[in-house]
Amino acid sequence: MQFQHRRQHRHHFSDGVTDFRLSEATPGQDVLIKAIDEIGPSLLRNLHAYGIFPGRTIQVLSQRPVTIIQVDESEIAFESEIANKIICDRG
Amino acid sequence: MTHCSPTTTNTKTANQIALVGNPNVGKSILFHRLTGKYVVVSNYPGTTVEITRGALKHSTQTTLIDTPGIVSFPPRSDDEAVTSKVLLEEKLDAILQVGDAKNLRRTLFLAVQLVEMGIPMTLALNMMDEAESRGYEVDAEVISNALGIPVSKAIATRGFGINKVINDLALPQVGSCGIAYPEVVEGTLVEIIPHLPSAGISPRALGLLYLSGDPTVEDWIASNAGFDAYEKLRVAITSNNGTEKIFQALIEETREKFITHLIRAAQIKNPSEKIHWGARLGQLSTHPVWGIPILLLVLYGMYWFVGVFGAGTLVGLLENKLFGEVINPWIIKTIAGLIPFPFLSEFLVGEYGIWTMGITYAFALLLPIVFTFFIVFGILEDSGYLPRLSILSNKVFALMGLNGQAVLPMVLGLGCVTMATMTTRILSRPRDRFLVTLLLALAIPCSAQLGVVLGMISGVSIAGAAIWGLVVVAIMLIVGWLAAKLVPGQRTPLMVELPPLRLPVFSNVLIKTLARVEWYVKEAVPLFLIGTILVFLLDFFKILPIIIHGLEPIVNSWLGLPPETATAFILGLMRRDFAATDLFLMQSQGLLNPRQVVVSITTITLFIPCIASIFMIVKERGIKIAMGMILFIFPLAILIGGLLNKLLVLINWNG
Repeated sequence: MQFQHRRQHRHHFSDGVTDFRLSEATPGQDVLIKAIDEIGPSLLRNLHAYGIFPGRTIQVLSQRPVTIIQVDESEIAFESEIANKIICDRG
Repeated sequence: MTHCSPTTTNTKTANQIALVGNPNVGKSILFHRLTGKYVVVSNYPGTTVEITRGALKHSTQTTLIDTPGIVSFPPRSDDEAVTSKVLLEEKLDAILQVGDAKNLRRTLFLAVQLVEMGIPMTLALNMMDEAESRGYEVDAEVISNALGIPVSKAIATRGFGINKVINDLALPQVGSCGIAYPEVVEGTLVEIIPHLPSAGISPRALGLLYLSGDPTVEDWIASNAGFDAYEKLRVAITSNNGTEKIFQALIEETREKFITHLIRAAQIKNPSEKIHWGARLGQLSTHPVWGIPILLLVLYGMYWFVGVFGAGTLVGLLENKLFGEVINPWIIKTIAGLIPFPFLSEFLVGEYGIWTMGITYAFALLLPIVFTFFIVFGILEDSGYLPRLSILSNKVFALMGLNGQAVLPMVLGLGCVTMATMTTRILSRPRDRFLVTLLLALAIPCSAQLGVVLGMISGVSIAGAAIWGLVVVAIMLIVGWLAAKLVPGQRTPLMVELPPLRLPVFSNVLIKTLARVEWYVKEAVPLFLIGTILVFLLDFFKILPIIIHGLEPIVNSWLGLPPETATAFILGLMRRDFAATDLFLMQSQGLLNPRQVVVSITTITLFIPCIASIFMIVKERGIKIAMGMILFIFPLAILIGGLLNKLLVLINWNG
């Protein structure tokens, strides 16, 4: 909770600083995907096929034991290795 | 179903329809609704992927092919690649796409790709109930007009809307969505299309897949296009300054725009009802705290149904009563009366006879276990729990360079390692398949081994059981960890979709189970028979005693066991009841002290379970890898057994 509070606080100063990794998002939060770091082409296609690509808003459902998000009406789970590559902004 | 004539095998002249869809859209249930009983499960030619075909109930001349679920093209796994192959290679009269009505974006993304392929098709928007309970209204007419194909709504689990699906299927349409791609894509397409070999799908769709770097399409073109044409294709792409990545991004973006626009026109979202029980239970099942008791409950249920009911009750009935008291005595008597040659009668019904050992083992002992396991497996599959199981176990498997998807074959291994080795096919990468095969062969005790182990350990102590468990788990983790470091290639991070938990449809589970049992009879049973013949020959030519005598000194001096245990070790590979009775007998005669019991069961657990599983490793991984595993596992098992013996002697452990 503390962590999220700090992030909200930062939001007031500059938009650029508010970027965070999907793995850091709080469960229950809606986030906007801004970019996806360099990952393998097949993984990128995979994410895209599920509807996870820049410009989409997704909801974070859980961070443990793995990251679980909701996109459209499906729940997708992936480990932090992938969640770390997804750069988000508050949705 | 009386009107289902047995002409299903006559597929050459008959019509063919491919059932295509994203994973978890109720494809297999719709398949079951449309085809009824007569389904054939087989490997798709040239692959190890299982595919189901069945005659349509209402038009028995038409074969429906159930393809593996695909998220979108290009395919991402061997399974999905088969779907590509079906579209490229089969002569299809139509495609029936099944889509998830509540996940319209994904459904339409695939639909657009299929429409571009130019094969007559229809679309069934399935799971309308789930879409409606989440507040979605979908206008099928709008989608139908936009894509130029018939679109229907269905709830396959309840049999709702099936008639419309069937009616649409009689009049499939070659659709058109009129998507125009950016200049560079269209320009390159114009250049490459003349050089593409003709396929089951339209040249335009083939070209688009080729531009997006679809590996299946690339392989297919490489082997079907002439050398000249192939060169011209490469030149066309490089001269347009394109790379797969750029083309792929442009193509995806264009489709995305079209779909967003279409969804806006075709779908309304109302405020949804309260959260569905499936969604709530689904969230609980992956909860860091509540997930564990649910997992334990599921595992206990599995253990009870497969281990107690299947391996206990059913095996008891079949093996002891039916085969032991009725069938086998009769057959042995009949054969003895009919065949005067001892070699032949021994071969058929002797101690290691093809009937008395091979068939009895495969049908009386393993079939009940395999059958009950597949029922549980089908329930787990259809309920949507399996991907949750892989999430919960992901951390453990990460230690061994794997991801949670390995949990499936590993759990199956507790039933039958031979079958489990075969199911490593579900893993998408060869590296994962290798690692799981190794761990299965080494550290996962199959139900037969577990039977021996639990029987013997009950005569010792809890401490003895704990030592056995700790050693086996430790060996699995250490070997898994080392193997993951040594085997080239990277670990595949876990990414799975979690479908809402649903109540499985029983008839669907049963039909799937029967199809899989048939597969077991065709693929695994022959291996048991070959194993039996091998043992018979080794025994008949007196080679078996030589092997056993050769092993005795090692067993005696290094493992600290009576020499007779060598017989149990070797025969245990062939037939579990031999190992069990031999060892039980020695234990009850006081020939084995608690230390020796723990050492022998640990060694047996680490052995490759049986000769059939060795054959299965050969079949799935090739002779080289199989030999490597044999040469690694057996000496390692004996090494660990010996070290354990020395350690227990050192600390003076006596139970």
